[in-house]
Amino acid sequence: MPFVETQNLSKHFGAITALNDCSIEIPQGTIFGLLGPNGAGKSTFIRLLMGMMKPTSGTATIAGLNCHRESLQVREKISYLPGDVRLDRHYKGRDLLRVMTSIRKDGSFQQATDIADFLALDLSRRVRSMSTGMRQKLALTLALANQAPLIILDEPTSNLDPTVRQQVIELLQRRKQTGQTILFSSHILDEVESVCDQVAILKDGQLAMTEKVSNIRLTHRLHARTPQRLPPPPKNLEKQIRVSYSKLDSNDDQEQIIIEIKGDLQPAFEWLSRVTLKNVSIEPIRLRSLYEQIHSNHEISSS
Amino acid sequence: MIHLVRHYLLKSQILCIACSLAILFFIYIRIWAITFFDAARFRQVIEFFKDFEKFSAVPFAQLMTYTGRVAQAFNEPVVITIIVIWTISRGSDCVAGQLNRGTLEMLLGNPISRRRIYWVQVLVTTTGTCLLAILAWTAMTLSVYTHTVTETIAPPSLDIPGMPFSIPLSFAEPETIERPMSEFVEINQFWPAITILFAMGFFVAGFAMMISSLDRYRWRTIGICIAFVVVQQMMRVLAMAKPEYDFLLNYTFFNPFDPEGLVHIYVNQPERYWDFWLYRGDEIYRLSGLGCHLVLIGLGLLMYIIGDQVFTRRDLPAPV
Repeated sequence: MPFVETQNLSKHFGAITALNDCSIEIPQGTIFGLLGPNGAGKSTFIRLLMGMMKPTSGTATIAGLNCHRESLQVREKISYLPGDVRLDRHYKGRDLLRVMTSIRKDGSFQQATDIADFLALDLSRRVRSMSTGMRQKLALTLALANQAPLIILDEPTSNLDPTVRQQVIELLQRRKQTGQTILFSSHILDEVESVCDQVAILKDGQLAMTEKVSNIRLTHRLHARTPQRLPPPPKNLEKQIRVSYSKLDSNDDQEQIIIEIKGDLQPAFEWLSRVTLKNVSIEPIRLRSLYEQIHSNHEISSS
Repeated sequence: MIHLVRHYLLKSQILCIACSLAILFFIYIRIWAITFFDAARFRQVIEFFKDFEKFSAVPFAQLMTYTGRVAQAFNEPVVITIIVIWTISRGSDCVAGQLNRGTLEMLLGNPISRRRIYWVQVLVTTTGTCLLAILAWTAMTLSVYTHTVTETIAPPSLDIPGMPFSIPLSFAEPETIERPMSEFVEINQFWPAITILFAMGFFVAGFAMMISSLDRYRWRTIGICIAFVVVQQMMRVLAMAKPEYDFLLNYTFFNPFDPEGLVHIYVNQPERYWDFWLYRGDEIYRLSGLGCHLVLIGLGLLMYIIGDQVFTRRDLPAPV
């Protein structure tokens, strides 16, 4: 049974569809990345999980609990970092940590100060005199200062410098090792690819794709030129291979062929050895290519 | 829950201290100012303004007594403004303010129910209102016990029945004596003014919290609440100025908020104070002590409950 499960989850604001028919399953103990441009529905999805909004239709459950009807019990299992972090400005960093960790049963002030030390955060300053990055670190510290089984982070590394980003990734990987499940949204594709086990890409409120990162890493793209169209791939490769053609020049008698190969390359190479191809090159597909393909409606471009 | 209470107390402490000092000093000085005017001379001033008696909640005769003039202090615009500032500030912050600043999202990321967040703020706001009312009482007591009044005792004279003058029996100068104000004012007679001040604050805070629960912008909530208070006050003035508009008194909370009137009833008709209505003959004349308090507390509570229902059911938008 997945730890987080949504079924046909939709949210409409009048005529505006923020999220439509989104079905996602997140297994326990994994890191799940939620991708999409601004307005794609990432934050709406997260806010529906947090019980801050009532879904127009569909359901969302965490550990079998309904996110809307049993919001309080659900939030006992979640540690949350909002996308747009706003903290009470009159507190000193240390006092805010003390107050917020005391609100949760499982909150740990000691754990919070340890994380703050790890992120080199000065807790003696008042929130109002902190920079945006420092506030983000403080909010991250708050979000990680407990042992909730699910950590939801909405763009956790925005406003952070590369060194701190790396530290945050390290923290998340440590949490995964302790069995915690992590859902995080981000615009930084390399970061998502490096840390996530599975990703979902949202577009205009629709779930455009979910895929395991290991599968994405095993996908390759072959570019070549061919004087004639290839015969269809054998049945055992039908699901593994996608072929597309394009003509760069109308006077050219040869076509550009792009073959996308998922999984092991060996069976595909056996098939390709039987056809005539020229100027062959091959490269791994990365998350960025998939993301751009989905959001630009163009053919796959590799990175 | 204690941490949440402490969190909201900390957030409101500066405003609370400012309002406390303001009400403490204002009432103290306002009651001290009563001693500047001799009651006998004050009578002449009041009689000069007899045409304006309809704007007063109590007969002018009461204003000639120290009790009436002390009770008036609780109906001063400054006192109302202090209570309104506290209640609207806290009430508007309850949902709209926190949504506007984005801090509600961070708080609701924790396992705390919306209902708890709401009612803790009701508790803090109500406690603050109660504190302000108690401080008003304290300031009055301090002022009454620390000031003296100058009484002018006229030489004896003989009143002639049916004639509008009297014949002096002595040509000595009027005697002036200083006496403690506490000899003229019994402070225990003013608790109706204090409790109705609290009830008014409870009502306004209830309105502000209800509007705050519906809104997402604090400035808009504050605007709506201030407009409401101003319109209610205008309705009262209009109703008292023009008899054809007196029905408006039924729709303004400044009608049951009548500290002078309640002190007047408590002093002169204590046996009727706990009635809902006061009758003049067979006709209802006005709300009595119980009625005034029940209307304000009851409507305030109703608005708190509406606010609770709205807040616990509504979608919470992302911070702007």
